[in-house]
Amino acid sequence: MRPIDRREALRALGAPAFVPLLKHFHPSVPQQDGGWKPLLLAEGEIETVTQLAERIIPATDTPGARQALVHQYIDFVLSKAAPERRDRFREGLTWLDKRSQALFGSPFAALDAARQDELLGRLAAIPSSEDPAGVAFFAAAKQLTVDGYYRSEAAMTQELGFEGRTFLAEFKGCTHPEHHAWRLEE
Amino acid sequence: MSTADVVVIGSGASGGMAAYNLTQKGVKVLLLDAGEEFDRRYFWTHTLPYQADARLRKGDEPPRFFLDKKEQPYLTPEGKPFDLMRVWGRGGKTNVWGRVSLRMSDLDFAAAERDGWGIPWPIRYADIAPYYDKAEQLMGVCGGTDDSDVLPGSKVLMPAPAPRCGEVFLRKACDKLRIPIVAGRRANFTRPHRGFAPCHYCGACGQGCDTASFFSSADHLIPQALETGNLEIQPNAVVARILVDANGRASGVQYFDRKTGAERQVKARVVVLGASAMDSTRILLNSKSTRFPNGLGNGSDQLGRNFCEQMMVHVRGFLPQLYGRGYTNDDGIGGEHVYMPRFNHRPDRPKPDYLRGFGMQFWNTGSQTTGADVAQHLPGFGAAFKAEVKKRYPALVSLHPFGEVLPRPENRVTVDESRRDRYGVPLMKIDVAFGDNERKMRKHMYDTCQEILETLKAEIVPIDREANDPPGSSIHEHGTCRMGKDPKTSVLNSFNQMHEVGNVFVVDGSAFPNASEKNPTLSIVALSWRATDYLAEELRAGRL
Repeated sequence: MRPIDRREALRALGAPAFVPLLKHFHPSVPQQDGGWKPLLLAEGEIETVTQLAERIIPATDTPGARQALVHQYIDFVLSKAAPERRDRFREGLTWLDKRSQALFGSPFAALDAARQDELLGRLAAIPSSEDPAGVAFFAAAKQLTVDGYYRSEAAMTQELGFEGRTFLAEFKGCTHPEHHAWRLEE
Repeated sequence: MSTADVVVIGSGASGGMAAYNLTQKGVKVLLLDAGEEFDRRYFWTHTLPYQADARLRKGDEPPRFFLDKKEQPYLTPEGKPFDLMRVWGRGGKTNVWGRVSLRMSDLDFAAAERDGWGIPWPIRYADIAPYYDKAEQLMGVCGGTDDSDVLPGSKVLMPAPAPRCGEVFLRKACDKLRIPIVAGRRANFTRPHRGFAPCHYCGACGQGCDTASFFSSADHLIPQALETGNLEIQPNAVVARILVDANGRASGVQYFDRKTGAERQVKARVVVLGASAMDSTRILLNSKSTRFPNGLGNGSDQLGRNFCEQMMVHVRGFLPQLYGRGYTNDDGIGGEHVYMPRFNHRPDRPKPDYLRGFGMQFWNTGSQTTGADVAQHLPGFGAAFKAEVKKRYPALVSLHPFGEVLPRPENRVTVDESRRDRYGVPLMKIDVAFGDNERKMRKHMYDTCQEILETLKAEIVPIDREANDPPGSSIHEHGTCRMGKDPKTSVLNSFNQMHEVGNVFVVDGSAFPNASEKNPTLSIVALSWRATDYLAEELRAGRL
């Protein structure tokens, strides 16, 4: 289906009372740039979060978490979160470095990607033999990462090709003959 | 205005309809609204998630439709949470409602007669059917041509939107399982309607509509009432009590200015409460007098009792038939385009081990939200995980059964004299828990969802069969000021008029004796229309 452009939408909607309002659509908001400062997390924590998020959703032929600025999203969300949630997350970062130190002799951010993946693999395993606090931290970090990544401009446009939240003159629904023809096996 | 003919409390579906109907009939109405108009210039309807994030970081905020619980708290007993969602402002919850518009039937109105639970409605489908016709027409409901004992049909619906890919498959599975599935009925305009533009299918109805292309009281009832010249609106009027005279009749309303906290009183010949179920009940319970020591019109002790609503569970799956197909614009009219009416009562079904039934909705099926809705259900991490998310993004199907929660006298609202709000008015306490009937129905809900997904050979997201949304989540509160034939077991008569106080009407969802499994707004609008037809006639005849 074809998104109709704004000018056409104005004509199609044809309601003068609403014309001035359309100026407010799609405000163009620049991505946060190099001048960004964390609201909550310390520099070292940001580095760990950035690397952790990038291992959860790495760059492939499309951007990963780092390019999608997921660390900025996580810092923002945590800055607004309840104190207990913030503390739990920061304790989790500390736990991750300790565990990393014990296994590989370096904090998480100093490991190479393969070692990082090895540690995360232990936490993601079902069931995991790691400390439940560490497993819970990984689950929380993964949830924040996927929330932040998939709502980013990079993910919505380049990874998943989202084209919604727009004006359509018509909604055609499923237009695939093979879906309509599909039959359940008896 | 010193004395209005009628004071209406609340501007949502019920209060808005009361004001609309009465003013058209020449009755002078003062509408007390607990908030102000929402300015659609500031809606975030077409704001994408990353744009919203950027605006939030700059300190910008979307409109606050929902009332802050800190501003107006309510009490719940330890360990019995209740999630009360209120919109205090012009149009109330209809600004952001789900728009599902389903007719109730005699299966619902006469349920208590059949199974003995609770009290039957004092009306039958035939009493309300003409009002359903008018309400659907006014509200611009779209839907199909289906007509059944569960979901009576209509001749006035706008065309239903085409189903999405996932909905095409859901229909096939239900056909095979012999579970009827029909076009959804929603108050989204799929054609131009009463001078308003049709839906533009952005799917963001929950943020309010830029073009007023779905029914809301703020756009489709209140402005028309204002045009008559018979409506005055008092914004920011937080009603505390209905005042009574020496004869036990309502004489006016006491309210507090939400901005200044100042107390005000206004006289009225007739009072219509449409403040939503919980707040209307709170107001009536706080309206104590020597004549009515337990709250206005509460000689029966039924006011505040018999709370009922719907219980929801959620099941998700991924359809292999849609793997890897890439993004499809599945926004449509926001919610699902198909609906599964209640089927457990049908003769070809085994008799359930619980009372009443459930219907099913399917919102968020397809690529309607961000990939996080897929990703959060998948194990693992890394490049393979990312690829698995992308593969499933168009393939999500979401099943949301809504089951009737039985009215029980102990599920109730009271007011606590020892705890006061910012105006010094006693707070309400909501004491509600689900029971065995709901737990048994929940099992059938999960079994049905699983059966549908297994029929499609879908990948089912692991189900926690003990899980359900907490009380209040349906945002469909009922029962606490119920209508009925017998004044000993009900608060209102068949025209939503108090048995004990003839010049007080309660027209919101609190009047429903039982909730049914259906979303209630269409029925609320129809009932309020019917009640205010009666009210206007009584007023004209000099009986009020």
